[in-house]
Amino acid sequence: MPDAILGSNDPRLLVLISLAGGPRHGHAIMLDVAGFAGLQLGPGTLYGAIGRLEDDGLIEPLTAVGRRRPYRLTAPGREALTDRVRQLGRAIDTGARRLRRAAS
Amino acid sequence: MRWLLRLYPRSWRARYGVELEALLDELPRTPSVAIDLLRGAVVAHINSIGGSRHMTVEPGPLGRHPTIAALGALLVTTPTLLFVGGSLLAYQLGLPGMVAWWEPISAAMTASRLADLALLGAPAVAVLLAVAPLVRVEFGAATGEWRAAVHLRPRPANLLVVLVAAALGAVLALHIAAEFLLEGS
Repeated sequence: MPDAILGSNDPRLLVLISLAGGPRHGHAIMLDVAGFAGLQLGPGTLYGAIGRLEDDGLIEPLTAVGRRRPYRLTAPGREALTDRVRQLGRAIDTGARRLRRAAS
Repeated sequence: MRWLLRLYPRSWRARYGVELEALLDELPRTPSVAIDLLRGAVVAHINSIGGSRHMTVEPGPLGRHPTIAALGALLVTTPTLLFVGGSLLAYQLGLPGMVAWWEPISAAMTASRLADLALLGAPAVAVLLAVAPLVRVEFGAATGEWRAAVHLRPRPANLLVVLVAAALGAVLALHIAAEFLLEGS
């Protein structure tokens, strides 16, 4: 359960990471997350995360294309993602360093 | 599977319903998708109660039919209107011959305590029924504090029914109180 411990399978974080690659609509986010994290977000989970991120001002909707509405990161969203990735990076670096030390 | 979207709060559906429908069209209809939608609906309801920054309490179906609500309120309060009107004409204004035929009707209308209560309670029910479609309550967080704002939509027909029902209720309540005091003295 390392992902759960580090919180990196939080749907909101996954959506932020997906949108860091550019604006995407719901289905595109779902496919992207499945691609980079190997996780299949359910539609209710995905839109729950989108709703909370939008409420928090971390993402914003763009003009709908047909029935699909793309979303993009806002400046606070980019900042929050940067902080979280840095935090996770520190944890992963520490873990790798300790594992190397234990193996040697 | 789209019917599961009806389980989400109305405000949530207004915001994301179309997109989620489009997404569901792309997905297989599997039990896991259905369960995820159900879970999402529960979370959306919880968030709409306490987790989001804004919540609006709308009047629901009554809000779309304020005139029907006003007519319904008028209908509910009609027995009280007849009772108060008849009593005023017969006893206060003393219309000739009115007492003779009004008295049995009045006695029948107030034959039991329950009928008395119904006559007195009807205007209150009517007020609620007529005013409900006009009221919208918004809760929101501003500078960290929760605030509530009540918005009243002015609709003359409903407000007139509210005034009539409130006046009837007040007249009847005063009448009952006066009778009670007179009996006691």
